[in-house]
Amino acid sequence: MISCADFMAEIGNYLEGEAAAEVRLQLEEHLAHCVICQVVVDSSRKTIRIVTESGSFDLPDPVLKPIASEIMSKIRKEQA
Amino acid sequence: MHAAVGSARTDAVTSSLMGYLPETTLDPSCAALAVLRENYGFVPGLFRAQGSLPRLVEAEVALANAILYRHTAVSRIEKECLVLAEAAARGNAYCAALQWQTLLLLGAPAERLTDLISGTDLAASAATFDHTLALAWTGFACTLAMGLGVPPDFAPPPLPSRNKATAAGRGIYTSENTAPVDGPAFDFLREAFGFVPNLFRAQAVRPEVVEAEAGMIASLLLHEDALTRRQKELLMLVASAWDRNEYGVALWSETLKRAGMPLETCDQIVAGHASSPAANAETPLLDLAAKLVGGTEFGDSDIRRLREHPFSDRQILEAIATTALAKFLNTLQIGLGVAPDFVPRPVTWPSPQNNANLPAELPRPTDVSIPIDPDLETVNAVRSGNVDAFEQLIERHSRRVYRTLIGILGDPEDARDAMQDSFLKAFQHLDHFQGRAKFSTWLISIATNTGLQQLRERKPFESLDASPAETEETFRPREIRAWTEDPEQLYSQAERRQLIESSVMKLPTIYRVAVVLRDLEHLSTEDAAAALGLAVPTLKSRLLRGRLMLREDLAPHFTRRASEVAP
Repeated sequence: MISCADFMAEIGNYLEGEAAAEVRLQLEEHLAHCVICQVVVDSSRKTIRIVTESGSFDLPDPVLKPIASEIMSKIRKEQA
Repeated sequence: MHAAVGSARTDAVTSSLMGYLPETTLDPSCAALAVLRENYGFVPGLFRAQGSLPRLVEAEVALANAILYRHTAVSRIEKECLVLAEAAARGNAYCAALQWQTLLLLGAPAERLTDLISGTDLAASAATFDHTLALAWTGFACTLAMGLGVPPDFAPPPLPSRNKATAAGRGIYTSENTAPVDGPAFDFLREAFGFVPNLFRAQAVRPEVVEAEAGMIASLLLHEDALTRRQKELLMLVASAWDRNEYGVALWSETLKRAGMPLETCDQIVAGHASSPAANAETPLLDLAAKLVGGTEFGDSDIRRLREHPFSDRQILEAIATTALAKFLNTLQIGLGVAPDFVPRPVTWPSPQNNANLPAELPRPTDVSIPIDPDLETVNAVRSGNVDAFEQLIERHSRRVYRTLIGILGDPEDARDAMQDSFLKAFQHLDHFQGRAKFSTWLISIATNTGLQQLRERKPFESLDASPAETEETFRPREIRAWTEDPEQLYSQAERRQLIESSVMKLPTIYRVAVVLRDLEHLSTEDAAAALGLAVPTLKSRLLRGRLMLREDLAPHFTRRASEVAP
C-alpha cells in the first residue's frame, strides 16, 4: 500500500485523469482507506471547478470602454 | 539479443480495468510476454490493454524488438532516450513514464532523463540532427550547383542515372546497392499491395525491420475477424489525410482502388469522410482516426460513441492500432524521404468544416492557414486601411488579454497598462500576422511577451524560468477539513469571484500565471506551456502547486463548518 506522500506525488496526474492505469489502481486503493487524501482529492476537484467557472478578472464594460477608446486614439494619432 | 533490464519489477496488475477498454488477460504462452518481461521487467499496460487481440500484441512486440530493443548502429539506450524525449515533447504521459522507468533500469542517470524531458539534452538527438543538417546542406549545394551550371572541379565518380535512382525508390538515408528487394517479407508485401511500395524498398538494408513491418501489416490489415480489410484501409487513408501525408494518401487510395473504390471517391473521403456516402457507415471509426492523428482531446466519450454505434471493443482496438500504424508509416516516410509510388493525388486536405461531426477547434499544427478564424475578415479590413475596425478586435479580446496580463503581473493597474501596450504592438505588427495561428492566439502571445518583459523590468530577480528545486518537494496539505457538497451554493457568484480573485492574487507569480492561463483563460496545457516558454511537465507541476495552494486558501470558506455560518 502506498503512503500519503506517495499519493501526493501523483495527485496531479490523478486529478487530470492522466495517471497510468497501474498507478491509478494503486492510488484508488490508497484512497479507499485514507480519509485525508479523500478530502484533498474532493476539495481539489471542487477548487478547480469553482475557479474554472468563476469568470474571475472579467473587466466590466464601463472599465473596458475608456481603455479601448484610449488605445484607438493613440492608434489614430500614430496614423495621423 | 535483448538488452535485458532484469526482473526488478514484476507484474503489479494482472486483471483489472485498463484505460478505456477492459483488459483481457493474455495467454501466458504468448511468446511476446517473455520478450516484454525481458526488456521491461514486466508487461506494460499498453500491451495488456490489447489482450483481446494477441496476434496484434505479437506483431507489435516483434516490431519493437526489430526497432528498439536490439543494438544496431545506435545503442538501445540511445534509442530509448530518443523515445523519451519525443514522448515528452508530445506530452504523452504514458509513454514518457514507461521510458523513464525503463531508462532508469537500463542505468541512465536521472539527471539526463530530466534533461531529455525538458528538451535540453542535445546529445540525444545529435546524430539525427547532424544527419538532417548534412542532408539539408546537400540539398542546398546540389541546387546551387545545378542552378549555376558550374563544371565539376574534378572528374566525377560513376553515378547511377537519375531514372534508376528514382525507380529504385531510394530513401535519402538508404542505399539500394547493397540491399536486394527479395525474400519472404518483400514477397508478402508484393502480394498485399500488388507491388513493393517504395516505403519498404527504402528499408531494404534492415530486412529484420521490413519483416516485422510486414508481420504487423499481416496481423493487422489482412485479418478480418474484427474490422474488415476495407474498413482498415479506409482508416489508413483518413489517418494519412489528417496527417497531411501525400505519400500515404496516394498509397492507400491506390490500395482501395484495387479493391474497387474509384479514386474520385477516395479523394472525397480525404477531403471530408463525413460527407462521403461511400464511408457513411464507417464515419464514427474514421472520426476516431481523425481525432487521434489530429492530436485533439480524446477520451471515454469517444469510445462510448463508438460502442453506441455499435462497434465492439475488439473493433475499436483494431481501429486504434490501425491509426497508430498509419502514424508510424507516415513518420517513417517523412524521415526516410521516400519518393512517391504514384503521381500524388490533387488533394483537398480535410478540415472541420467538411467533417461537421468533428470539433471546429480541432488543432491542425501543420496548417498553412486556419480558414475558420472568426477575426480574419476584421484583420483584413484593418490591413486594408479601415483602422476603426481594430476597435472591434479590442472589444472581442480585451478581456482575455487582461486576464493573461493580470496572471503575469498580479496588479490590475499594471495589467491595464500592459493591455494597452499589447494592443498597440498588435496593431503595429499586424502585417506580420500570417494566419498560421488564430488571431486570438497570436494576440495572447504578444500579451504574454509584453507582460513577461514588464515583469523582468519591474522585478529583475523574479524569473519564470524553471528551477531544478521547484519540482522536487512534494506539497503537504495542511487544510484537511471536508468541503461542503455544493460549494457554489454557499456564496453568490460575485462573492465567489471576489474570494477566488483574492486567493489567485496571493499566489506567487510562477503559480499564478499557470493557474490563470489554464483555469481562467482555458488554454490547453500545451498552449499555456508554449506561451510561457516552459516545458509541459514544468507547467503541469506549477499548475498543480497553484491549484493546491488555492485549495488551502479557499478551504476556510467552503468547508462544512463554513457552510453553517455562510450568509
